[in-house]
Amino acid sequence: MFKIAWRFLRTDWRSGELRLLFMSLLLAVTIVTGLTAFVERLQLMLAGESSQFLAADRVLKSPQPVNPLWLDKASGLNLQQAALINFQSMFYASVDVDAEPVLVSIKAAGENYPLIGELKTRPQPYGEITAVKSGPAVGEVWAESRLLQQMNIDIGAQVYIGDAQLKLTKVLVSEPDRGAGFISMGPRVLMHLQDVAASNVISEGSRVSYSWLFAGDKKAIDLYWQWLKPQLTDREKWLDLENSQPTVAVALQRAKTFFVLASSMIIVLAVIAIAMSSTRYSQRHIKHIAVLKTLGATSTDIKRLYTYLLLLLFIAVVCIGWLLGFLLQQLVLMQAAAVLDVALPPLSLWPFLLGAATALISLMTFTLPVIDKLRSIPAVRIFQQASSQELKLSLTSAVIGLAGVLLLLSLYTGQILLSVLMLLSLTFLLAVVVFPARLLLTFIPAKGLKARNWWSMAVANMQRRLWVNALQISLFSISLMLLLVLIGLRDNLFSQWQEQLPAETPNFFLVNLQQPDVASVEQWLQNHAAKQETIYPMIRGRLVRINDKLVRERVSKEDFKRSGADRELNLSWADSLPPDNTLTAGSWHDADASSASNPTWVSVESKLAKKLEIKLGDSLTFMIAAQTLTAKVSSLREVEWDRMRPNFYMLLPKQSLQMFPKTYMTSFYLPASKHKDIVNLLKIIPTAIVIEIDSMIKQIRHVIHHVSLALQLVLFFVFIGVILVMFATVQISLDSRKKENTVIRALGGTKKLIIGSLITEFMLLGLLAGILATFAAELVLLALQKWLMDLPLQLHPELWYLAPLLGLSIVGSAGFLAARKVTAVVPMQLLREN
Amino acid sequence: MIQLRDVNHHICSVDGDLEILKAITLQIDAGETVAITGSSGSGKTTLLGMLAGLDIPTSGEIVVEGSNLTTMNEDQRALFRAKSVGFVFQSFHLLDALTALENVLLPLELAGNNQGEAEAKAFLEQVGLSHRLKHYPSQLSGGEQQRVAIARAFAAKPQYLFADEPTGNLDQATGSHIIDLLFDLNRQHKTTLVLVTHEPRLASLCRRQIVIENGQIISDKKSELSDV
Ligand SMILES: Nc1ncnc2c1ncn2[C@@H]1O[C@H](COP(=O)(O)OP(=O)(O)OP(=O)(O)O)[C@@H](O)[C@H]1O
Ligand SMILES: [Mg+2]
Repeated sequence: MFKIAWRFLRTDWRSGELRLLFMSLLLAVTIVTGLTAFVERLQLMLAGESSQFLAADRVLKSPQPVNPLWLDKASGLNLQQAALINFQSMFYASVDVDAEPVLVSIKAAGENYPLIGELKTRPQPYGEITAVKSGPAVGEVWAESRLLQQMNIDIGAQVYIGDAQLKLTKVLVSEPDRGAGFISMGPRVLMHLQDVAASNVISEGSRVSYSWLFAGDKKAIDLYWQWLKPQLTDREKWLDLENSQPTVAVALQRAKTFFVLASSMIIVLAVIAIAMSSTRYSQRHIKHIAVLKTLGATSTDIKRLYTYLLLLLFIAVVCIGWLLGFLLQQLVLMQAAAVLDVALPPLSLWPFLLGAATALISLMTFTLPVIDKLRSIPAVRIFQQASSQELKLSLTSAVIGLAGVLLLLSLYTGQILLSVLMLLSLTFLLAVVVFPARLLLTFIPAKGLKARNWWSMAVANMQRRLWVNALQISLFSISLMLLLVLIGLRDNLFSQWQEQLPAETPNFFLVNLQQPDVASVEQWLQNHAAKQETIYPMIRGRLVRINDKLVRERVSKEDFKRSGADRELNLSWADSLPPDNTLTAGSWHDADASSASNPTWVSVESKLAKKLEIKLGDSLTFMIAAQTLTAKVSSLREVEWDRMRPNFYMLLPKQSLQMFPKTYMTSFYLPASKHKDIVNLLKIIPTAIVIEIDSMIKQIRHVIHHVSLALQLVLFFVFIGVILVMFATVQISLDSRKKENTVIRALGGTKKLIIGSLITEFMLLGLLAGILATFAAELVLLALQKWLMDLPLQLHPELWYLAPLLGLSIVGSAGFLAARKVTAVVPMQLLREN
Repeated sequence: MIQLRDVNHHICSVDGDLEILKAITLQIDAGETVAITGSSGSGKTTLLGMLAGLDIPTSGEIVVEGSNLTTMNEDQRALFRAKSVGFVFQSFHLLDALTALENVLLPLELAGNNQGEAEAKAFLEQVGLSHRLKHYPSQLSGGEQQRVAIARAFAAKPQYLFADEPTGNLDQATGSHIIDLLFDLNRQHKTTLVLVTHEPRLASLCRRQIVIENGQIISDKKSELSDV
């Protein structure tokens, strides 16, 4: 049996019958393995890159040294660690008592810092930037170039921090975890942790922040957090990407969903391709089986024969497919790693498993049932069946096959909802296309070939092959829909990211302004062509009561801490609804719109309101400068906090707040060329605090740019897959078309007529599929936006022409190639066929 | 009138160059009935295909009514077939997806006749299948399929009708029936009939018998027994 199986494979290969099945299996294994591995490792790379925001995977922050047991535990779990101390100190360039010191913000870093990412330095103020993996050695300091200018010192100078004498060895350009820097607190200086003690600058009560950086295996980190969480007090903060960089975290999360979606789509496309070619293959074996039966083969023999045959095929395909898939993703990732400047992450076995499983499951669900059915019926009947060559793809096995593979995928990604959504939309498409077409078939019988001209022949052909055509249309439209969904989603994500950080996003915050400063700030910003945001007053207040209940009673301690309501809240007023705010309930009153008939109102940020269970109409009591103020909730606002503009949890009428002590704050965009002038602003208003967020914005942009690039690459993969599947789908009816059209040519039909009608027919099919795909894609996109991506609901009119156009051109050109194949036969051939 | 002048046909195969037709010169006049016989592999089917313009020879000329098939392109020959040729295949080659009537309509449509339904029905009636118009080939017996194929071959009223072993796949009785049909229709429509056969009875019904062997005509004689 094994020998026969081998011989069958060989002859099938030579006759070309096996090639289509082999190619689609190979394609499936290659592209599923390649894409899932690509996506998996790409995500690790992006996660690695974004970890640089913390210079670690997690950071524990505290105003005082933490329990050493905590750090021992981390070592026990094999986590990498580094310690940091941030503080401010005077920096002297000479021991001379009269020498003018400068206030600098110092980061003292222990061994291993940074755990993730690199420090950028220059050997001289204008030298080449080099990236290094560790901070200054003991006895050395690195400082920003503006400090060198300000103090007029050079590399190699002896400098003093407290009692410590240190040597300036490098110019510091940036640290990965710079985040927001307080410019007014002086230039950044990096020193070694061990020199802190000698400097004697840290004493009881000085403002110092201690950080412990951790990096390592995700499981170990999770374990550690489980252990650490109950022991933390109010003073310690645990930072991850989520709470330190929500913009990047959300972008990565959405990109991940996009990737999962793309991987599932590739799998769906692969299953479709295998389904078609394996059904076709098994149909072609109907005759073989009949002959074997007449020669006396039992049904067990036949079963064994085909098991061997498929197994041989499967093994060959998987070996080659794995290799190709691996090479494919390796090549692309090596490029990506060079761009992202990170090491290639490890490769797991999952992608290989998924690739093989896709092939195995679909091969089994689409070939075995056909063969199994044939095994049990008499040879004579098989011969009769063989004459009706129409290809019938069983819907049930299609659904079983897809469900099997999608289940596997959802296990892999943990996104079951997504898989269900995919399956539903596919079933929907099949139902929408195939069943009406079948109904039509029974009501409008086809009327001949209409071989007068290519147009009427194409239309007649479409009607006549309604069943196969319906199948083809639904496969085309599924492929196009998948592509459209990904494109639409990509556009959504891109525009979302674009909106989040548009050009001229404010890159400085200015806080702690007094009333008289406001005018001079505005003047200064105007003189420097800065793009200025509204200046808001800021009143410190504490929420004490919601209706008649004290806030402390109302919410559990845990909730309370997280919501931040126990801290002082910043209250403000606004002339109109601020730009990043959208009302979710109630109505907005402008700041002066309070009157006797309209008592004091308050507009509350909606997330805080939800946490504290504040509803419209509740009355809130604030304690402000030892006075109480009660206000009625008139509206809830959703605030986009990541737009780098001042925003407030509570907005109240101006007249209720203006008697309280207040400071003012704003943010502005200043072009890079003018950053050095900030020092002048601080000279005009010495009490103001400037917070620089420019480098953070750049870093965020950088990561998001890379995520977008990754999205494009994945989309490209899928696009290739779509084209291949569409070409394979055209093959479905090729056999019967080939014979039919040769007969037509023998009877006097010209090549022109046949090619013309075939192209027309396929273009019509593609067009119809494109139109259907557009509808389906919009529905799926709406569902994704609503339930999965948490994106604003929107239609994609810019895509409406795309699918019909793609359908028309891809299917049309596939049809053209098919037509050329169909007409390549010399009609003479008919005389030699039985 | 069909004229073959020094027609040679070669085929390159794995076992070297194969000469299938060698220096065939032949003239078939309008209205003739010709039987081509010869042993298996002698080149009969190839010759018939050439006569019908289904393929062109490696060298030599085939001229039909003054127009040279060998210099025409594929589509010009297709138009020639549509206008002037009917063909009955040994294995029928009906289109599975079309009904009997639609199959017979096909050559009419290809010849540009859009109102051929009545004619097609008449032909099917003549071959005794007026009650099976809407049936598909898979619902017909072999003999019935061959009758549809004959109706199809005559439908566009071609000047020349070719048949390659039209009874080869049929039993004796059905075969006789088909032969009678073929000659009846031929007489009615004054078609030139060229057929390939192994059956002496069928061959003897033709006025002219050509025997080929090894790609060469070894005998070409007109039978005294004219019209049956
Ligand atoms: N495409 C081809 N490739 C290889 N050899 C061919 C091809 N076409 C025909 N031949 C060979 O040419 C020779 C003549 O073939 P043809 O079909 O004309 O014979 P025939 O007289 O019709 O035989 P039969 O009575 O068995 O039908 C045969 O030996 C055949 O093998
Ligand atoms: Mg023959």
